[in-house]
Amino acid sequence: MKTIIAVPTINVNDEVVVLVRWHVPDGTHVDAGAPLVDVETTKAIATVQGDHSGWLKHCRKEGDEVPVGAEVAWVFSSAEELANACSTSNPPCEQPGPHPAIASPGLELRATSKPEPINICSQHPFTRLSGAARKLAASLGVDPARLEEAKLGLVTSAGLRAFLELPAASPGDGGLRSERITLSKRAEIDALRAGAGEHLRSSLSINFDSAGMRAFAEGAGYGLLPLILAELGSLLAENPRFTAYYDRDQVIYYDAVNLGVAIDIGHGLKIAVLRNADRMDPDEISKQLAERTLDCIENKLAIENASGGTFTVTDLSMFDILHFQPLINGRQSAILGIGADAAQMGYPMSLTIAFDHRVLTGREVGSFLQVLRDRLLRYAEVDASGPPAHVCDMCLTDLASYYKEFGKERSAVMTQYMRPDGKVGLICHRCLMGYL
Amino acid sequence: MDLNINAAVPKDGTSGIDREVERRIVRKALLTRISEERLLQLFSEGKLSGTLHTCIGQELVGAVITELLSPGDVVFSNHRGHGHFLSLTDNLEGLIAELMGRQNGVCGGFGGSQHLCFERFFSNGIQGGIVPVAAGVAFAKKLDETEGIVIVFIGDGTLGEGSIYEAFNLAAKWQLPLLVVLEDNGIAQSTPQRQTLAGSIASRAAGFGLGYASSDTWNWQELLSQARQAVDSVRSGAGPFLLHVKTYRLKAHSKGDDTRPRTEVETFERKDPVNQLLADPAWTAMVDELRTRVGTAVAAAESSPTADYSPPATQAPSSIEWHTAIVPKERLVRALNHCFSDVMGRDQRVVMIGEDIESPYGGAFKVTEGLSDAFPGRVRNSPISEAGIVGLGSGLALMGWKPVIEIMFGDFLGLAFDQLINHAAKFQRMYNGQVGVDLIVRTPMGGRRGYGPTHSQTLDRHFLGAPGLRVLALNNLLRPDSLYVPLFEAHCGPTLVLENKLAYGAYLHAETAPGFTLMHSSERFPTAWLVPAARKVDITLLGYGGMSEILVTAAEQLFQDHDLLAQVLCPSQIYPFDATPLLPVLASSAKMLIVEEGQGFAGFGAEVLAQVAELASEFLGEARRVVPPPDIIPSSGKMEKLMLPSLEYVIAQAVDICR
Repeated sequence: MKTIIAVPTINVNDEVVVLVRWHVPDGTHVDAGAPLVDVETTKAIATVQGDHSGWLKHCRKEGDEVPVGAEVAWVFSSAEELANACSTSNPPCEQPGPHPAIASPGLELRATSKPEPINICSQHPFTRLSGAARKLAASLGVDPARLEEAKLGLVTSAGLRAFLELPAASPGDGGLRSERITLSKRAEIDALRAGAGEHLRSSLSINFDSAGMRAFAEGAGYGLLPLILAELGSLLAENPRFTAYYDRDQVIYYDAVNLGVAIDIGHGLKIAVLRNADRMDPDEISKQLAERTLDCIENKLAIENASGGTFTVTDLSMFDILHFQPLINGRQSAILGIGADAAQMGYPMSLTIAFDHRVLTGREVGSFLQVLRDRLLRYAEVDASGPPAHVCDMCLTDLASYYKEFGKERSAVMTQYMRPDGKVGLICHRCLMGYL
Repeated sequence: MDLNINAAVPKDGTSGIDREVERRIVRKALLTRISEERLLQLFSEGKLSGTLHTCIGQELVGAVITELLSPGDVVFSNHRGHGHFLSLTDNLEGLIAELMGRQNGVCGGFGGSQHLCFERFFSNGIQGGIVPVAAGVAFAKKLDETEGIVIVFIGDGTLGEGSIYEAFNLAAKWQLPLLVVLEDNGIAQSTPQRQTLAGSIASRAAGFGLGYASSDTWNWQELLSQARQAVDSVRSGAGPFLLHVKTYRLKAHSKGDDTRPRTEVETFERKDPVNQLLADPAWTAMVDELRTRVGTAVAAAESSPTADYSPPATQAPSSIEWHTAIVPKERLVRALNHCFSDVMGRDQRVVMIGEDIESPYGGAFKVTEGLSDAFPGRVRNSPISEAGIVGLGSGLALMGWKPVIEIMFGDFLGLAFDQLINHAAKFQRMYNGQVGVDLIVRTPMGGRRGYGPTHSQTLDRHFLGAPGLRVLALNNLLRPDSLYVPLFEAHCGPTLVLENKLAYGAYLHAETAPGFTLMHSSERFPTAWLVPAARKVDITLLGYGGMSEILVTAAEQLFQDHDLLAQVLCPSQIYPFDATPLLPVLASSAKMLIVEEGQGFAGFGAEVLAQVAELASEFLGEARRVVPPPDIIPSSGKMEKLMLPSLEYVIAQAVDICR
């Protein structure tokens, strides 16, 4: 008895998935309920399980694009059946069939079952190349004798590429190297294009030094980004228009703070969604971020953790990018871009909100940013309301007063030194000399 | 039963007519009258389906003529044929059951009043169309050298139809034993004769050299005498005869559609001989007996099961096999000629009729070259009468001959449309399988010779879809024997074989390009499949008939110059056509190009796509028809070349769809 394992419908958007990894090798025994194969949709990776125990035969290989509903494997109830299936000369599930495995509708008066594509020519006592194939072979320096020996029958350039195991040519490549975009990149493009569509895009930025708050956050154990996200979360809860979007003369409110955090560790841009971030403290956020990042590293980001965002945050500060313009995602009205430059004194930071002017105004966004900044600065050791006040670490005299008092003396100078905690500190000449 | 006028038998009030004969004639006339009146009553009770055309007032025609017939004679009639039917066959029960739609009706409920068949009686509801068929039966009798003549009843209204004149001409020229009995009741439906008839009826007969006599039904004894002369004349081999019988239709054309003034009708009612018989006490006993018989027949019909409907069984196999095929390197026209020569040599029942087909001319395209010399009398030139010769063919086929009728150009097939669709295609089914018509009509379609709009067409689609008419198309990927031999071997039924003018002079496709294999299906009329040696195919090219050469060349060029793998499918039987067995082949590629030289709208390609959409829509992938624009075919060579699908255009479309 043969059970067919087909690609289930994972989400309504995807009609095709990519087979990423088999969990059970071809030709081995599989238990009911065990994970069989991972397939990648535009959003995430999903694991397909089989309901039957038995002997598994793969119908597709890793890397194949498989239509939803198409067969990926067979499970036989006995090893003999599996052996028989493998030994037939034309096992149909090897055919890359252009059609999904859905029964065709029959006429009332006729009974039809889905016809299998006929496969007549399996023996070709010759190789004959098309004009284009011949040119390709010459340009690649392929030995004609080798092709002749292989007895490939009629060979087009696509067939030659397949035989030589070259990647397929893209349409009209004109000799340049090319590669297909992944499903997730395609989805990303679609989402951003949807976001860009008819937005009236505007953006505002606010800048400040982050050294102080950073020190606090690291001291607390969770790091600056989770702190920002926590404050952002609660501020968003107070400002529902930031988690809304425009659609046909209406503003549609999500009334939920699900922060989508952009994570890109080199496997493609993913969005990890922290649901109800307004109710999470920075510790919690930090923990979840770490888990999501690990998921991305292992290529296991689950669908429920990758969708449903109502506001997006993207952080490029790790590259010392001080300032940038993020792109708003589809069905959202704003995005927060975090930039910072560690190489500059004070660790300047920028918070940029790009927003849809159909939903938000400059005043709202400006006010939002200011409040956010202020709340963050409260964590800083240094009062950031004015220009950075340099003080002597020991006597706490500020720079302005110090030079006012001692400016005429040639030895009166604030000296920078390396503090024990590794940060740069200031000490006035008096404290350096041991006075006071 | 031959009548002996001079026998010294006691007479009974009538002069010169044997009493037995009189009784028989009266009985038949009365039976007809009583039956027709009862049928009219049944009609108003809603027990008959459709309408009926009674011969009330005209009964004596059938009653008298049938007195003179021999067992080998055959009778054809028309919509007003109940009297002829009853007088010849006496099958009252079968007639009434048929009109009441019963299983045991003479045609199982299929034919009804106007389409009757029983033993040697045939009728059809198309005015005049049956006359060429009758002439064909007469021709069969002549070829068989048997006794027996053919009688066909027409009305004066029928004199408007051209096909009867084609039949008169043919029958006279070929001296056929055909007796045409014209029931002249002065009216055609609602239109009186004075509005429609030019010249005279007698001069029509004279014009074609038919024998002629006229009589009427008010003195049936005189009618009998005239009829005997006519029958004897035809039996003697003197050729066809027109017996003109004046009579009067006492009732409406069918039901409720009588526009004549009552005073006129009443005059005839008073002098009607059957009315007089009904009033005559001498015949009361017979009348009563006949009324009882009719009553019994009606009761029997009413209590018998009604005919149930089921569609005819399809002959197509649901799956087929393929085998490699070799086609000899021979010009198609030579191959055809040899094929016919072989077949005619083996089967004496095969005859060929067409325009200009005899030696030395041998046909407009030389297909029949030398055949009339090899088979004298069996290959005949006909007058230019497409309807006439196709009808003639049907008549021959009804008598078990295997006629091959050549229509010189496919464009002329329209002239025989009625004979094909309403006669040949329908006889077997509407007569409930009592007859078979193994008729072959062959004709070349196709342009590209600059013959202009009415000599270059591919009119195939106008003849597709007529149930009962098979349509085959010759192509150059199989020997013509592959189609014709199965046709002749078995009871093939009416078949239209479409050949192609341009293909005649070309060679059969003996050598396929390297890497392509030609295969034929196991179907009775094989589909040709050109398979490329590859595991997958980029596109299927589907076509038939004259397109095969273009498609095969296109496949080769698509591979060599355009890096595409194409397979070619050319079915031979284009109606009935079932795409099911071809689906596994079509499934090999997601793209399909259907190429036709005829107009695309509602054509073969549209049918294929509709079937694939219904049966296996997931295969449809991308499909396109390559057809000419909706326009006439210009005569100018250059214009014609641009208008009809060319090799270059097909290749461009294939490349485009595969992009």
